Amino acid sequence: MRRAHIIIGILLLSFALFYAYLAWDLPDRNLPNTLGPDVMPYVFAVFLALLALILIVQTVGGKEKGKTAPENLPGIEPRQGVGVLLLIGLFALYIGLMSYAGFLLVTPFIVAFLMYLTGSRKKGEIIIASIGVTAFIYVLFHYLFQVPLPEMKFL
Amino acid sequence: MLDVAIAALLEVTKLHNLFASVAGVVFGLFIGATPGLTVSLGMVLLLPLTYTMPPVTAFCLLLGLFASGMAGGSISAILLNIPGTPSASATAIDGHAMAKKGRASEAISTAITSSFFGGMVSLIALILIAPSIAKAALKFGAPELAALVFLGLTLICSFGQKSLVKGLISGVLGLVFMTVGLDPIVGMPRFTFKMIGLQSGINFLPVMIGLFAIPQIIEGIIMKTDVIPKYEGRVEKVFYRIKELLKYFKYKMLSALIGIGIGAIPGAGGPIAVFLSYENAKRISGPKCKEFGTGIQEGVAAPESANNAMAGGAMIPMLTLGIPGDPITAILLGALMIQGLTPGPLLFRNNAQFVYSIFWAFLFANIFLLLVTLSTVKVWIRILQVPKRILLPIIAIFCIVGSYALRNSFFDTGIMLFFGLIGFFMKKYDFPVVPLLLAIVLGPAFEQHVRMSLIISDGDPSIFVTHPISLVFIIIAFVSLFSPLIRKLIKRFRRQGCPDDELEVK
Repeated sequence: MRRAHIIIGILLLSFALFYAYLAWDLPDRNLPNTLGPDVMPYVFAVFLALLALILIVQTVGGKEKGKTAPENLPGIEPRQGVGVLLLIGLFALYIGLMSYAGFLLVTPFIVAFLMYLTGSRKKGEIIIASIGVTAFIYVLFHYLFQVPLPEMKFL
Repeated sequence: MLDVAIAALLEVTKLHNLFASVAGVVFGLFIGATPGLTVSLGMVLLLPLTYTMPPVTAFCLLLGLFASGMAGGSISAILLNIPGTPSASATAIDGHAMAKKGRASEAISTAITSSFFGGMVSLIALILIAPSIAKAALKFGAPELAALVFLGLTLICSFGQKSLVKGLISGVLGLVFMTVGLDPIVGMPRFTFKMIGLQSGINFLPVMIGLFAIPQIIEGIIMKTDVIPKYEGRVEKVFYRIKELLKYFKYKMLSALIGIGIGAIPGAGGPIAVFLSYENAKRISGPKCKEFGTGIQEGVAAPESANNAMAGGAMIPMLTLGIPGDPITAILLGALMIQGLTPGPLLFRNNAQFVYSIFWAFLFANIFLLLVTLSTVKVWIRILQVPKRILLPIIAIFCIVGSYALRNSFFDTGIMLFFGLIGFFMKKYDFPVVPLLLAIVLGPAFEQHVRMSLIISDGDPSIFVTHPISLVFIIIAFVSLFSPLIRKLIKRFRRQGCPDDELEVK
């Protein structure tokens, strides 16, 4: 966990430097007697870099004790981290498919798959719940609250 | 003013608004009573539904959830020793002890009547205090507003956070993300990478949904949540216990005042108020001090009263100054902005009837909380057993559709997923997410007021210290950065309450 905190500090420091580099491209002030669009980003970049350095120094120095000390935090195992990224990827895929195939066609499959991931193994339960949830959300948003949902593009 | 108040009452008592309030209360009880689901999550799930609602109906729904969600967390705290919300953690101490002795019904009725009591006291405080603050805030200029937002951000990043450095990192990251979009003064694009979706900046609603909902979904699916134990005891009908509303009056009243005070401080958080009120109850109980923790009603009444009193307290800075103190009021602020209303002193001047509608909606939310919960308590016990394999997919789809529905934009769903991933890793490495969210919400106002102040002063930064109110806010902000020291002093003070006792949190 200590190593993870040091890595986080380095990533934040790198991000702060990158952010300051992007702010470099912004124009200087074009109104008199006021800060230009680039000043606040520079200020935030400096603070972020300083805080990242403090985090690294604190972690290396090992001063933080008790429940919040890095070694006492649960953290993430590598396998779990991969699982998290895959799950986010699954959601991104669902969003991508929904933009072409529409909400009604794609949603039952994602609901069924998510139920499988959370431990559901009864086929009847999965089928009924996936169709039911899709219908419920569709009726709620589309008819009750008049919020249009994505529709199929290729028909 | 009376005619405005009456007009507001007539609006709130329309059938569809009362129905929205009851629906909010029922949903809030479900959310609060289910371990793993937070009130913030419930609010972000309901938020997309309010896009097309009239403002009063939207707030009847959301305030119903707010009031009952805070109280609903006590049900699983009492029956299962698992607080449904963080603010119910102190209730679990004596509440679960009472349940183990076969007094679950008594504990639940005490919790709900105390929640109602605290909610009503905080409503009175809101009505009495908010208009005065709003009137004073009308005199604030750009330097005062900039300093006030700075104070709010500093409090949120520092006060009540376990690690000051992590709180500040979270806040500054939020400010960084806030700069994406059009510059607020000259209107030129910043950090948009020529993407049209980023031209209008990062909308905080998908950020909110991502930060609060996605980590919980990931926890449930990837990390596999713990099995929720079943409550095997008996719970009797408790509606007749409504007559116990004024029982333990001094505990409930003092705790309500603590809840209001803590709730009004941005960043202070629920657990601080409930544990402070619990410790205070021990201190004023005299010889009964040693019975706390063994299962006594006072140990449930005090924290629950503080719990719901925080709701009204937190709404004071949100409504009057536009500074949300916690995620829930940040969501309410978001709901106001969706409706085209800007919270702050001008809300009281230009939309007085709507403000009174909020007061009435809060009143009815508390009344429905009392009536609905006490008459349906057995239903909530069954709710505790709803399997996560059905709940989590529903929540996931709701989140994706909800963030899409804001602007019919898939870009917003992408923002939601991005911040969901960030929120998950922040949670795992103990970085608070609330400062990040509130910095995105308050950051644009902060930058705008700072730059406007410098335009007014011809570029002279001393304007922030030559204006007395601004100077006071800045001093308080820096004092709050030393809050870890203040907390150490409070801990020393707390130990003087019951010298032979240690507060155990199971």
